[in-house]
Amino acid sequence: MKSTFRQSMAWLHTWGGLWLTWVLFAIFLTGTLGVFDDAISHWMRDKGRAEAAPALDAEARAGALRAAQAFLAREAPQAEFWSIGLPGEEDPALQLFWQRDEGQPVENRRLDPVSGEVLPRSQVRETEGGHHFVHMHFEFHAGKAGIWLVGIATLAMLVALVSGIVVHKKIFTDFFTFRPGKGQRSWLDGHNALGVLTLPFLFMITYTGLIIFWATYMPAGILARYDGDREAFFSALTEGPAPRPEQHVAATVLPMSPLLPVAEQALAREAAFVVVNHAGDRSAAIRVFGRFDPDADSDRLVGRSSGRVQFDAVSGELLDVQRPNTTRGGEVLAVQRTMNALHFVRFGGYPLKWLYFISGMAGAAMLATGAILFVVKRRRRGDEAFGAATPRVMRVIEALNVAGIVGLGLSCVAYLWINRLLPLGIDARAAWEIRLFFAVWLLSLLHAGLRPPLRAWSEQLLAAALLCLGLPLVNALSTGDHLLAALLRDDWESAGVELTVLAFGILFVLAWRRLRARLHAVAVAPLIPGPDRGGALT
Amino acid sequence: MSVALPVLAALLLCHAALSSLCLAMDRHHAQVFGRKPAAWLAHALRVAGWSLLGLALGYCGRHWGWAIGPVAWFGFLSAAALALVFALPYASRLTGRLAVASLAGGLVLMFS
Repeated sequence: MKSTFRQSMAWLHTWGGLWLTWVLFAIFLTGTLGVFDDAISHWMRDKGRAEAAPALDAEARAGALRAAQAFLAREAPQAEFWSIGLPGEEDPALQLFWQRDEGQPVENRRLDPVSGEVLPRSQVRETEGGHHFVHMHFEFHAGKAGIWLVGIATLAMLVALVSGIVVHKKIFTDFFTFRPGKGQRSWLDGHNALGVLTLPFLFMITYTGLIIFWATYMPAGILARYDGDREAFFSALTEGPAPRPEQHVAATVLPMSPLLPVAEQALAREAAFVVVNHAGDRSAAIRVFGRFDPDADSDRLVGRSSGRVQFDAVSGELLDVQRPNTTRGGEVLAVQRTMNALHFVRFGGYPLKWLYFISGMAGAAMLATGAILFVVKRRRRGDEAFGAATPRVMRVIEALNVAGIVGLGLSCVAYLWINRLLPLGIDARAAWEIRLFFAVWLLSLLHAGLRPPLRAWSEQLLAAALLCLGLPLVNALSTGDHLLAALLRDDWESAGVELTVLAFGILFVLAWRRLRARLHAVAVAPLIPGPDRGGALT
Repeated sequence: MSVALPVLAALLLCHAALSSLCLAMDRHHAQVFGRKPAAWLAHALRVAGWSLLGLALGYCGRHWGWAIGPVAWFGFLSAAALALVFALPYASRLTGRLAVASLAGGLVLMFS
């Protein structure tokens, strides 16, 4: 046992933190990029030059819905769900998704909203866009297992934050302290400053992150009282319509277009998409969702939503209306929704998004400096924490540091390159983008395992820098669009993505140059005593 | 009013506040001015720093409302603190002048 409370906390902070650092770094980095998922999607779908779609009047929207329903009734009369994205500013086409049966792949097509004809795939840059980062952030594209992994890491983060405060003896004395160029001391200063200065954000984002999935992480109540039926629980909690389990009685979905004006009037805003669950079954329900209005009630924290209306899909009976920007389910759920809003920064517009971005990146940097500090400290001491296996374990940790930190950054910018270079119109293009993202990440791990640590850092930093700085070029060559054109047409979403990527490119270059100078110093001064200088990052 | 002005005002006020608190500390005062501050000066800087923090909070609350204002205030504090701390060792001599400039700029923008 460790002798004092602070020493045991130091042990907890080091070892509890270390094994989940890379997971947490990935959560922080991708989550922070996810703050701008819409802008990233806008860039990836090459929307900048698309002409703004003319607003559709009610009649044209009803016509589009008619065309969508005709197509879906022909293509998948029996389906787990249909989802119909109505034409809007983002996309002038109808976007259809459907799943024939539970567990089967989700299929999708784009339709001309007037003629109802299927639009050829080669016209669109099919992509998950910035959503990929959001999915990485909360589930690593691994479904339930991913959500649990993220949950465990998040708990570890809370433990590390609290134990970190205990370990940090001089929070107030060292509040403004950063001493660069001093090796281990500087890494510790940086780690402390990044953590302490963003502490309110770190606690808020970590805790609210856990609370979002409370029903998953704390299922006991729902298991005990509702036999684990979450739908039934939430419908009782929010006094919403009862769940509609499949009845296996065939019934046709009634023509939906006459319901559209009813729904739009109930919501007092335009409809954005229509979802039909269990199409073709007697239990089918139609839900009409309003279009999200980023300006409405943007000065409020609570319950920002687009609203939805539910109908019985066979009789057309109006079952439920949830108006935009309202919450149901009592005080507790309202508090939970407020925490969601805090986590997703669904308020305050771009200024708040940028503040989250800065704090999130600082959090990621805090995790990275912590992981690097671990290695730097032990290399200097020649620590034997793992007995005879120490050199091998340290080697693994150093490789994970390279791949987990700079390798992930590299993969994120590579994802944007892949989006531009992958041919349009191939099957499952969006999925391939993500597979290739993981392939790049795996390559970075392989590279980190094969090269000496300092070399691996330097080479991957350089690669990341080149990918960042080259992104505007590859965009210009592949789409013909470029930064200047985006700026001239006031397209701050496209320009913002490229400018931010360029800024990261410059940071990577600076880091690479620092490291190269160090590598050089090591090469010309091999007489400096110390264990294995060439392999250590100091 | 452009959205950039209140952002800049809040950021500058937070920067001035934190710089003031920073310069009230012996170690950082010596780092910037080459000597420890007199007791009265350190005291005055601390009072000014805390008052400016309050002023910035009030400004954020007034501008973004009292639901979002405090969230924004924490965000501005973190951003300004990061800028201050990581600039301090590289441009320590400028710290005093930057603090004064932030204060002047923040106040002007706040009342404009």
